[in-house]
Amino acid sequence: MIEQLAAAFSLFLTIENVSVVFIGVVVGTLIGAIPGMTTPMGVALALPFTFTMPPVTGILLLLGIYKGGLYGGSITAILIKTPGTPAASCTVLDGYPLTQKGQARKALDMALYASCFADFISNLSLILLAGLLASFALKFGPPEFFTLIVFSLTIIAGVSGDSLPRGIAAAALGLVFATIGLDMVYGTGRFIFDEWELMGGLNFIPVLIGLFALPEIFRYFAGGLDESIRAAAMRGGGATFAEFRRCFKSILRGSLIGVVLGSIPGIGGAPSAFLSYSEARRNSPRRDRFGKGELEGVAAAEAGNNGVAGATMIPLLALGVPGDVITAVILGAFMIHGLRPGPVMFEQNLTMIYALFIGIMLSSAYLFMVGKFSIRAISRIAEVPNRLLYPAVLVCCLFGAYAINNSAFDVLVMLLMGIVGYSMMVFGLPAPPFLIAFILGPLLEDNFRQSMILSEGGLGILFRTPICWIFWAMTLASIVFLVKSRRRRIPLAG
Amino acid sequence: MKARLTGVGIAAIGLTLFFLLIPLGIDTPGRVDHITLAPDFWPRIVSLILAAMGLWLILFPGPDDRGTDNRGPDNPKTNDPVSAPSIGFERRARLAAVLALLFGYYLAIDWLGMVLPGTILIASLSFLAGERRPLPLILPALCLPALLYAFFVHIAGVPIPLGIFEFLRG
Repeated sequence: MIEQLAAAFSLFLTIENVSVVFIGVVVGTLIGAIPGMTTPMGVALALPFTFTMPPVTGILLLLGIYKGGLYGGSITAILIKTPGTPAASCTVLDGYPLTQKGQARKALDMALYASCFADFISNLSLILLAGLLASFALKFGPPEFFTLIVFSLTIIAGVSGDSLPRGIAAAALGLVFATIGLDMVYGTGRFIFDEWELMGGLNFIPVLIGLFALPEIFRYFAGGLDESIRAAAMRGGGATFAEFRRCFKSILRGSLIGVVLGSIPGIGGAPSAFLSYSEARRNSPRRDRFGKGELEGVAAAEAGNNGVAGATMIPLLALGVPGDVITAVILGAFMIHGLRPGPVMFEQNLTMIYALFIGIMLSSAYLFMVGKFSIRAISRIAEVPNRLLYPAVLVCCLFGAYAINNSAFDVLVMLLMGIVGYSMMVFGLPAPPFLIAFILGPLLEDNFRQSMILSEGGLGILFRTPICWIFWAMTLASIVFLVKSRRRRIPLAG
Repeated sequence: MKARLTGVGIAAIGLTLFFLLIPLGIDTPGRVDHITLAPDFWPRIVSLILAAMGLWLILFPGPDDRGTDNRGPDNPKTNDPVSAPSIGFERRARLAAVLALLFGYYLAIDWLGMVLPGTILIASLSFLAGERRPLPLILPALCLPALLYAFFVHIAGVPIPLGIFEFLRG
């Protein structure tokens, strides 16, 4: 063991490796922070550069971009309500209201601290618990997934504001939009109306930007062209240690949620962020302030989002199964170098795996440094007046939306979703439930229908294992809690 | 009143989905193994939820609010304009102009590409927002689309359309 660790250190400790992790984190942070650019896009773009690098160097570059991208998405989410990644949309819920209150620096600081801590916990879990978590992940079939997503959806009640029916209606609209595309079982069209570009469904990013960024810009133009919010955004101080300590429980909980969900192939950062947020809200004495600019909400969302970073490598390294698009690209990088992740790799290339672990741990430290610097640099962007910033953001969004599929259709989707989002804003329908349902909806429906195929239509399969029972019990407890707390506030009112 | 109106709208969307859009927009195969597997099973449930929520708002409207969208009572500055009963003509016209510019941009992509309309869009929006100084109007409008073009085409390898200026592609 000690010999292998020593060999791993000597394999890792080269200038190329140490600097490539740093470059990866910087590039990832930048990509995550550009509206419309996605982390998978960044990792895929960097893949060709790794062909000529040694395996450890190449894979560390991709991992650096991945980790930087997860954090970078939160920057624009907090400052201009434009999440760079689907997972960062959860950070918007409290991050942007904090910016409106002039506490953007505090929100950015807390997002960074939570991200780095969760990333560290996730890396530690990857190193120490890979085998255990991989075997747990294998226990998840469609019914277990379905019950997990049902439980995650209970957060909708928490982000519905004062009106539960409006929140549920917004979520139902999100579910309807999520059904657009080809039917998973029969391959027939749903709401396609002979538009072949709708066959693949609506892409996350144009919907995300359309729903959050555009309504805010429309509101600016339909309003009094108010510049005071942005001008005051960075005036407040940064997050203090006392605030970090107050949020620590939520950060730790979010990190663990991220680790568990990240180790299950196919879940990803967004459900983890929303679940972490939901749990933080449920357990916080300041739950009434969630959604209105609560620092703990930012911490929980970012911890859940970044907690998956190391854990998604668990099914890849331990089982050879990529859990999402990014790890699929990383699997490609392994294979290009003649390596096949899985149990055999732990026997034949243990030194290399340890070297990767060292690099991954270093990336957490780099993330902190890059994040701290980027907050300072970005504070200058916040000083740009809205009349110049919003047009620039809009054009970035338009280019980004086009670049996802090289399709002008995605630009149209983004603009139409902007009108939908603005209409929802005018009629008091909250956007977060729409987005949560839009992200979780396909997972919910697909796993439900897969369960029905497995059981030939029998609903009993949804209660087949203790994992299902645990999630049903948690869902029930959550609903009872929500009903009780709402009754105390507003009886039945819409 | 506004909550009831919203309720009527939501219920109408739910019922339109159930009775019109789902039958028209979802192709259901002749033979379905089980009702829960039918392509329209899920959308029908969701449309009923929408209609039910609309009904809830009609029956129990609660006090009229001015839009939720995360705008809290301790954040009055942002509880501004759009959800107010009416917005002035000038503001409506400005919003209409922004929408016209954006959809004009989309329609111009095939013909003029994304770079030149991007330049016009930035300058026009900044002008609409009240910027009158020539340098802040022109500089970002010229530089940002060019930078985005250079990044996407030469670094990311994304073929950003140039429309009739396609001959300029290096």
